[in-house]
Amino acid sequence: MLFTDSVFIIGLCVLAAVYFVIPKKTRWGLLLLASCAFYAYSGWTNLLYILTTAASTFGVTLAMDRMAAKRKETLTAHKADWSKDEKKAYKEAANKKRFRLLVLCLFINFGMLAVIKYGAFTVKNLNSLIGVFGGEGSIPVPEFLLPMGISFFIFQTMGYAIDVYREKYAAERNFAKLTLFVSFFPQLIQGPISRFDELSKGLFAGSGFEARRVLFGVQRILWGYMKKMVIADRMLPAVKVLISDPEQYRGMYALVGILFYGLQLYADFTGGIDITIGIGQVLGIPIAENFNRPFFSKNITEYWRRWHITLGTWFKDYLFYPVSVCKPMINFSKWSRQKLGKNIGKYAPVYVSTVAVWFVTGLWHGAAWNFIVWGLMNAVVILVSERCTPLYQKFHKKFAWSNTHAYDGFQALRTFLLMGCLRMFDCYRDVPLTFKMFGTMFTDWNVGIFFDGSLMNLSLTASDYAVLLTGTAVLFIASLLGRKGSVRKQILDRSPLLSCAVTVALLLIVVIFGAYGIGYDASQFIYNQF
Amino acid sequence: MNKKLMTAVTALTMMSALTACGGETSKPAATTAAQTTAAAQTTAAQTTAAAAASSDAQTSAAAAAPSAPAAIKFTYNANGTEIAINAEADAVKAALGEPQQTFEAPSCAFDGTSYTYTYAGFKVETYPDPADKKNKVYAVTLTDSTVQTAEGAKVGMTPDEVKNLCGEPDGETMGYIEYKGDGVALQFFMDDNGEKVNTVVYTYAK
Amino acid sequence: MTKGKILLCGTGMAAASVLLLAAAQRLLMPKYMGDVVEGNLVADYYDSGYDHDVLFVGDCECYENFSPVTMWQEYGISSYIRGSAQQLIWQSYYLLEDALRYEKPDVAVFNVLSMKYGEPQNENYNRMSIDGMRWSQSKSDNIKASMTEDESYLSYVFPILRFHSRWNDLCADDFTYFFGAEPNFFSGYFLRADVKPAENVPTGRPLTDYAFADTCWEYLDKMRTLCDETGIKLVLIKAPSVYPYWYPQWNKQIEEYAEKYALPYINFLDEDLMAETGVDLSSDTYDGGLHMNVYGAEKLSHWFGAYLSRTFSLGDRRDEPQLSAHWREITERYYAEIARQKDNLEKYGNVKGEQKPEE
Repeated sequence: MLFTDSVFIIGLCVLAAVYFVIPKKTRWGLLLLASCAFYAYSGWTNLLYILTTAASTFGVTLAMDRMAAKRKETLTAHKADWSKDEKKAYKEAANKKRFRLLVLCLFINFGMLAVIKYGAFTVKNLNSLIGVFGGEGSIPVPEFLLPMGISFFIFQTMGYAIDVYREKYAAERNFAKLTLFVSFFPQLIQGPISRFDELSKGLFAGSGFEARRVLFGVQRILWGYMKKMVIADRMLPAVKVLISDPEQYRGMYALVGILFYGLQLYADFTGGIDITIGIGQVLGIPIAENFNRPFFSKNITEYWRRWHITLGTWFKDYLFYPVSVCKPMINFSKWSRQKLGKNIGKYAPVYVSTVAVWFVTGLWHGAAWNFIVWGLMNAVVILVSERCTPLYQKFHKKFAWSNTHAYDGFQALRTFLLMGCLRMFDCYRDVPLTFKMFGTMFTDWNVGIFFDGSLMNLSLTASDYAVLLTGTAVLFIASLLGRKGSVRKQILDRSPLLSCAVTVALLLIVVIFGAYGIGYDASQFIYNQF
Repeated sequence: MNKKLMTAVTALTMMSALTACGGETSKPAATTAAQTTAAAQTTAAQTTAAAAASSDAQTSAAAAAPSAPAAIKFTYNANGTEIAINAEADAVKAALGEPQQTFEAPSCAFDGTSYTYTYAGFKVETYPDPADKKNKVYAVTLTDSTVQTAEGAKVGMTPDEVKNLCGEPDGETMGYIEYKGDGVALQFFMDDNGEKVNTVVYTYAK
Repeated sequence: MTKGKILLCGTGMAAASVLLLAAAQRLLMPKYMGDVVEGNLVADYYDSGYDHDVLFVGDCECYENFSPVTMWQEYGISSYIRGSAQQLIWQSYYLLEDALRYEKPDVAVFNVLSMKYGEPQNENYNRMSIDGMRWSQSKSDNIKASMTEDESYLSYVFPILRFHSRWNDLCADDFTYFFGAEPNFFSGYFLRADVKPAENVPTGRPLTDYAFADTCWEYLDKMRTLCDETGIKLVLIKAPSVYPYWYPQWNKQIEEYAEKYALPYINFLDEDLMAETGVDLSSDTYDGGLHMNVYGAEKLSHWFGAYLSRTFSLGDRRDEPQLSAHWREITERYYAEIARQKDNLEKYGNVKGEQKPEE
């Protein structure tokens, strides 16, 4: 089911109406039913994946909690008669057991993800490798239908399991509540990847109707639909045309593709997240922000703090730091300082961790080499950027004009184009082709396409361009206003009537200017596939 | 030394990624309609070899097995102009020249016009494709023995003569013999006695 | 904010949304007052007064080939043609069923060409045939039977979901006719006064299968049963349109069906009958034989009116004042329209009065 399906929209309205009428204590139960129904809509068997994750995590986290409680109890009991070393040894042994349980849970879930999502990719590459050595690579390639949102809910739940292991908070003792956390329907399609301690507060609270909050939630939902249906879906045919025939659409067309895809991806992804967070807000469930004006970023590091925030923080908290501080990495750090010199030796562990994280980030996006290369390219740019930081600081110190808003604007544009170039891997889905198309931007100087009407042959009419330009301008202005604080709040503070009018206007804009129905492609959210 | 090492590591990473992708046949996210159509086409030889006869209860007496016939061509060649079903009609008409007769049939509520162009020995019927509003060839009918198919089959032949030239059909009744391939049907209709072909038709296969 | 104010705001927003969306829908739905007027045919019925002895159902071979004005003027038969472009048999059935909510004619006439279409054909024609219906079970069933793969039921409930993209194609007509179109039909008859002789009419290409689809037989049965149950006489006809080709094999199946159920079946393509009606395809058609012009329609109606009057003992109702007044208005418009089209033909060479650019 997609956010843009009429079944979803009607179901959401019914859900909200019923939610506020039923007793507070039962509201989370209604959400669980709705989430199961939502997931089952794409096939009852898909619920098995959710249940597997929920059940394995529930069992393991409860056991880890019990073990932690027993450990504390034992240590308290032997506070006086055990030595420091005895206590340390006991603690280590106890944590080792808990760690093994965690590994089991991670193995089951990431294993499931690996097989379903990466099984075919792995086997195909193995067959290729065997072929390179002269053999016959004929291992049967397993084909699985990728369950919707599997990457999202497994990552979210494993984050919870790791948090429980780290004793950040106690495990959830109600299996149904944990299942709700795993399967909460607005997040299933494209995140964000929430943390249990943050989400659960609102998820199980059963908040009542509160006019201002509900109004803001509705406005955010409509804003999300506007981005998705008016901008992203309208841009989609043009992007498809540009990547469908690389031989024809090269040079400046590739640049146009970067711009179009950048806008489309942004509107599609952030639109979906707006709908998710808006639904949460209506129901009184705060959901973590996933974007923070990413196209205002002045460099790649800042960009990744503003784009797909929850994925970035997940990798930072659950992969980067653990890898950075694990024993093998500490040993490697010592070795590299000795063998590679103080300069490189100091940074080598960071580099390795970064490359590892970005390798996995790329892999998370898809079981294909283009995603892996995309991830690694991001790592390279980030690391080069880090290394050049002293240079940049000197530059900014020397030239005063480099500290102006105009230069900030230049940096934002530069970062947008840089990220757009990296995104070409996502568009063309073929690594050599992507490099080739990137090269044509410098070799095929067909700037005439901007003036000779060629851009009118990309399945976009003049009206479409007008809507897109207006939509982009509105997004930009909203982002600028958003720097001062919530735009919805600013509008409401100015005039409640204006706020109501904006809500109605958004609804009309989505219904009238949305690119849906006969004549438009019913397009999936881009991040559905992850 | 450190800088060289950095460069080498970066280059190695990039190279390994590239070489790993050398054999991948991943495609761009979207495929054009042309690619889809091209992918759907099979060779005529494969079609005839793979096709099983699906005759119904009125099948006539079994004909003698034809000797290795040529693979069937599902386009009609009219004096050097290849006419394919679903080809753009304007281009076909331009290549064929002015027809002897034209019949226009506007659709109801002005939703396009169908045409029937009559040439010496054959007719071309067109229809307005709602997808792109262009007229496309819907059917080509051979009406007399002055014209023939690529295999040499024509009006006036017996069913056996047709099968000798075209091979075992995909469908056969007393009223017609039919061959299918590339989404097109080549149909030989018999006279009332079922003895001779009186019309040959190329059209969309059902 | 107090509860009352919140309720007021919420209700206000909901009401404003509904009103504005309704207005937008009204604006964006095609008015069918330009080149394609046939889209207004189905809705036109609801202004017809619901007092008809004969109800035609069928496609353009119905609404362009018979003149209800002639049947009224010569025989006092009040008739209406419930047709639309490429109207499929199940659409005809549901329109007949819908009409029975308002009246019960003595005779229902069905043109059998649509027996050749066993599946939903075209989304545009569906919209023209269905959007004009008032909401009823018949409309709902009609939608479900007619929807093509890419259509949705919801888009018929809220047509703005289908026509929203017309914001880009709005024209003066959309504003002029915002409150309602002014269709120019004559008891469901679409009038053309120009002439284009039928020439080079091709014979039909042979088919491998002449069987009508099961769905079509099912709906023909339903139509027959509906008429039986309501005491309406069903007459099957095939209008004298020479294209699409009406195969003898199709004709035979209808003849057999008609014989089986003792239904009258009149094939106006029959040479003898065509001679009897006086229809001349060199002067009585406006598009080369596909449809009659008004002269051909009047000839057919003259013959058919006599047949209906005689066969079903339909009374002459010209002495009914209210009905006469109703038909007087239609007749006046009818002759005015003929005069207008003739005048345009003389001045501009076309019935619409479109000025051709100077060469």
